[in-house]
Amino acid sequence: MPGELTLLLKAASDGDQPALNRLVALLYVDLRQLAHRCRRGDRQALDTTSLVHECYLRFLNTGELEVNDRAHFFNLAARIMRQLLVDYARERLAAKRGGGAVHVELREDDAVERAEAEHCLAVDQALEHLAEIHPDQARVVECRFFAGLTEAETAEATGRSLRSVQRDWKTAREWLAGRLD
Amino acid sequence: MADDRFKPGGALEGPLFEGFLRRLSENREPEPGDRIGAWRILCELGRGGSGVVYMAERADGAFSQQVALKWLRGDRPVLGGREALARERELLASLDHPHIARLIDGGQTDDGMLWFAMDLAEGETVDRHAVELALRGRLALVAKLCRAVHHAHRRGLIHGDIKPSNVLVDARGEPRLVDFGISRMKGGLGSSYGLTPDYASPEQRAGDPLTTASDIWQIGHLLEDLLGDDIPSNELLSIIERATAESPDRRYASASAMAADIDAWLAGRPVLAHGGGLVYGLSCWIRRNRALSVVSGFAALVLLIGGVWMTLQLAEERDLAQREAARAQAALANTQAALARAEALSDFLVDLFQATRPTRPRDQLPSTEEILSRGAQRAMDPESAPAVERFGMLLTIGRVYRSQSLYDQARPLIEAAVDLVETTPGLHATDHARALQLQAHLMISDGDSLDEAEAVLLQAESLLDDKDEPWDLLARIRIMRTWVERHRGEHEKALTLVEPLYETLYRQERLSDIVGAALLNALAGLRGAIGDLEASAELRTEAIEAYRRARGDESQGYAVALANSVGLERALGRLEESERRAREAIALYDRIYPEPVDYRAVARAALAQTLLATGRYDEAFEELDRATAEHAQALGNEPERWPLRYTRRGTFLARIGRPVEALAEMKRADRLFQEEEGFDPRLLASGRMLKAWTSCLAGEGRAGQELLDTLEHAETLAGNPRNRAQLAEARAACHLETGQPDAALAAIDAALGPDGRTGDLLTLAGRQLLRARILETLQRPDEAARGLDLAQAQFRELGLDHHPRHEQLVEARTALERGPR
Repeated sequence: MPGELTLLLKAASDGDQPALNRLVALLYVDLRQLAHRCRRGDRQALDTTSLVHECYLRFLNTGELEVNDRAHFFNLAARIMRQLLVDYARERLAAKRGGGAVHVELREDDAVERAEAEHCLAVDQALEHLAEIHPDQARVVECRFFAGLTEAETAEATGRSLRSVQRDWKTAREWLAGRLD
Repeated sequence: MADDRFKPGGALEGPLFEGFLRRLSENREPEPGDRIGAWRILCELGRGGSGVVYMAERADGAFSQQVALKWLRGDRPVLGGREALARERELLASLDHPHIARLIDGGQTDDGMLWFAMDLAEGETVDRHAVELALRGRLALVAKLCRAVHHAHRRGLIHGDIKPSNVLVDARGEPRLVDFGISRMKGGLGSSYGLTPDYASPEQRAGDPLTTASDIWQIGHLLEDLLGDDIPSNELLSIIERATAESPDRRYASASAMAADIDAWLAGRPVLAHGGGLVYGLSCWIRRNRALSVVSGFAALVLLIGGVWMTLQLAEERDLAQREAARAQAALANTQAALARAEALSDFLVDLFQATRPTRPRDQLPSTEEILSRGAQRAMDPESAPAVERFGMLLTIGRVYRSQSLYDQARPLIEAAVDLVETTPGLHATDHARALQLQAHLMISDGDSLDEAEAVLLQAESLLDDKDEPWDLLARIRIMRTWVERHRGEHEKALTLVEPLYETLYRQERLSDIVGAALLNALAGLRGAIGDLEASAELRTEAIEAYRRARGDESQGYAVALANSVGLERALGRLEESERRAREAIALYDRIYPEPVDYRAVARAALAQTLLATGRYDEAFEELDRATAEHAQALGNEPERWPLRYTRRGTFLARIGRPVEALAEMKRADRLFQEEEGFDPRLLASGRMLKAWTSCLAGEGRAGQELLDTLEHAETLAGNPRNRAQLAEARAACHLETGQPDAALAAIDAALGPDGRTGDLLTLAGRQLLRARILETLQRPDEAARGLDLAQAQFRELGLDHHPRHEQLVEARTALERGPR
């Protein structure tokens, strides 16, 4: 019998919103564990770019995923990571404009964080445009930039050849750079 | 060159991502003195897995209001929008019910945690409170919760997390549901994240979108927990089982239906949940009535009736749609238990009766009259069953009698039901309205004064209370009121009765399918009656679809709706479609009715008219003969002696320009009208008028004029636009023949109507020809020619150049050119 995640992945890729929500929730649990490890000072031990990969392995080990779900999982995880980060960036900026309620501790890296949040949103918006003209390129950026997938993983997640992923990644970055300058 | 800002995993490093991770790990709980939104935390009231509840007050001291503030320890921020959240919150805040803790305020803290401020509900949780309660007290509590939840469901709100700790009971013993809708918002709209596992409904566990059925499941589960091992009867168990059925479709359709069942149990009435409801209700009744010892015994009587007594005594012009509307009383529109049961029973019987009639061999079963009359006796006998059940059976059997035109048998039953309402506490205003509606229907069918029937309908309507959502019943009453107005010729007024229902009830899907279809049918009829043929045709098409949806495309309702649209399609010049629909309807009737039946007769007559319009005269007359013969038989008349057989033939002949033969038919009909007795005065008047018309067309002007001058009940013709126009045409013909061309012109113009185009092709051609003759007499040949050209153009538009009637028009036009003879 397929694991819960396998079923959710299938439903989510068929456009089922509750299934996608549930996936987000599951992924979030992993992110939280990661966050706690950071807090304990293990930051160096973590390679965040392999985050999605690690999640995948964990689900695989618990039997919730099957080996042939890998491409599916990467594909959706990239989309979810993008959404989570963009949501967070948006909230950070909103909070600074007085949207918050509880008093906020000022942090030194606030200014940098804010700049990054703006960058993150700008990339997100540019990707929306890119998706209209070259959806394949936009998917590649999503996988690589937001989810930190390797070229090979991106090729797997998008079901395309390594060469075309490499080409798209290069073209898209140049396009983005031009667009954001 | 590659930009450093877009390196792989670029989004996953730097302060933004660290901040993101930090926030995940920092779930700082608020403490007394902290401010959240407009509120200041006073003290902690309780905590659980998902968050902490505080008592809080307005931080600005604007007014002293204490609230329960719930802070949710989120596992993740809410995805997909603050706006959706804000909308949901607004809706929740609009909930105003004594058994629901109102949501006052809510929002997200800066670190993304959700909080909600609610009415401060004090008391203990329901599971603790229930320990001290007797069984009845626990049931009463749950019934109250059901009603509260129903109140919210009607506003489109779902609780999503009903469980003992979310139901607080105050010192007076009143329950209050807290945390309404919060689990939904917490998980993101449409999700069910973070549920109490034991109380998660099957669809919540599957991660499916939440529906009201999920709340019903949870209430069922709550009831089960509150009763514990103390379940004294199978009926209570069946309530729980129905509420917690695995499939949402098998649960109660509404929380109030569940409340009704709990109330029914408390009042010692049978519950609907048991054994699927309908069958159980019936078997209950039959158990008490030993004479009808098996269910199938009762069912059999209903199966048979149609085959044996298909003698529906309805005047030919009465719209079939009206009867379909009256028969088609399905759907449990009302939430009250007694009413639901009455309707369930009658629908059960009527449906069975309609659905299985064709296959049941007629002569293998005992006399249905006998069984039916025994059923009626039992229903009348106060000792036979509780009043509430007797009420349902009285109405049901009354309805069966009425549908068979056995009005004398139906009347005492329906009157007894009306009396019963007033003396039975278990029956309510809606039951009363229901009984009155049936009474009015009976009065109309039985030819009572329409004014009196209308008064009964008005009384029924005044009893309706929006609270009970009696939409089907309201629509039925209004449809019936349109019949009254139609008989008075008040089509516009009739429209104002039903048109608003189309927008408010039908469009918003508050009507059952079958009542919705009946409403469309009524509207189509009225639109057609005021000459708005396009709108009427659209409504008819919609009605056909509605009947197909409600009853399937082999059902009588669908066939009737199809047949009703045949004339309209013809009037709009869509002759092929008109013929197709007629033939489809006839084929359906063939499958349903082996015996002669007026439904098929009317469909055949409509087909005959369409065939006539296409110029296929021989086929048209054959079909007309079949139609009138079947109609006569269905009404219990000998076909050869049925006068309408000849008036219809005569009308056809007159329409194709054979007035002498037409007159012969009309004379024959007239003799039969005099020899046979008991015809409706409207039919008599119409027969006389047709005879006058054909007399004058055939050159017997004096005789025709005399008939018109002495026409009795002419006023009954004025109510129907078609008859009114036909009368005007008859007058025109006779005025022309008796040397009064000016009066003739005025009359024919009235018959043709303002545009002289819309309507039946052959009727228009005949009238244009008559008008041309009148104008020729008046020495206005140019106008005569224009009228003939107009009529010819209509034939050509429809591709009917070779139609014999078209050729007659061409001849008349040529004769006009040659000048007066």
